[in-house]
Amino acid sequence: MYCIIHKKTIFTNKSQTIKQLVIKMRLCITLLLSIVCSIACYSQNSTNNLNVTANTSFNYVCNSISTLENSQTTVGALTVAVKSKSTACSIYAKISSFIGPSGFTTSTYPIQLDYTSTNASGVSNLISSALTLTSADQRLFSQSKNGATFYYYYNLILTGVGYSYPVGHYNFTIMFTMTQP
Amino acid sequence: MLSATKGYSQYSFKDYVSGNIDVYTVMNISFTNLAGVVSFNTPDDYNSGQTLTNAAAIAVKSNALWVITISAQSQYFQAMSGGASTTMPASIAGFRLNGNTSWIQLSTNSQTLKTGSRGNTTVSGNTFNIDMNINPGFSYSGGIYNIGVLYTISQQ
Repeated sequence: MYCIIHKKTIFTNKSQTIKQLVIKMRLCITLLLSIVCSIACYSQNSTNNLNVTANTSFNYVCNSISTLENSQTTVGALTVAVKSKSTACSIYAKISSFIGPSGFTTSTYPIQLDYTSTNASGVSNLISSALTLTSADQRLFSQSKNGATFYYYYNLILTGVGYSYPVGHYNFTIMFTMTQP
Repeated sequence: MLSATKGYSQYSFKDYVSGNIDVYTVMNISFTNLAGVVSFNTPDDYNSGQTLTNAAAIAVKSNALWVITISAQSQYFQAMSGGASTTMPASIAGFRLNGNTSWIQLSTNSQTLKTGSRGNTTVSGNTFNIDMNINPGFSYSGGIYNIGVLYTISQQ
């Protein structure tokens, strides 16, 4: 854009040239700023986005031998909606917060994402088995660029917490990230 | 300017979901009787009583520190046959952890049998055997007797 404007500039005399140059420079800067701004808004709100919907509340209760030792699965727990028109993208997930009662420490978390289905095309690197989440990003799948919104469906699994978790209330947050190269 | 624009166009978008887990105190005790019916057939059985080593096996699962107490459900043994005494006290029976030397004389009061730590049955100390001693002496009539023994697990 900047170069095209300069090619069209015609110099008639020195003062006029300076005046025209200043005007063209201002126009050029304005145009560049407009381009930058329009890209940002366009990408975040319209053609590229990630929306994760919890289809139910996730409140797990461990109050018996069975619930301590065995998994609890929330079927159809999450819908991950991805639209990535500009470029291909990858979706990652991790435990961003896991807060427990006093005395609780752990480096592993009892939360798994279990992929069930998608209506997407152009999917690669899909983790189709139950994935134990950690505090680090793990890629769930990659998707080629496409103007349509595609949906990915997941079960959420609380694996048996066993007998080492102190009695009390725990809160966890899963963060999903869509990255575009 | 172009470089800055390019850098700005590399995006990542985030979304979040949250949930809760509530863990309650869970305890479980399983009891396996290994002794069966105890018979007193010889004078020696009455002279010194009978000791049944590894009379029962106990396994604990708990997500809290635990304590097991033992008590009799009645002050006296119940006479189950004609002519049997009704005054044979619970205290003629004693229990101990296998490997210990001192006995806990049975009574209707709860007495601590063992304490332990959090974990399932594979945790050290959560699976153990107990010995039983029954020494009625010669004061009670022959017959069939029964008494309920209550094992209670609770949080320390």
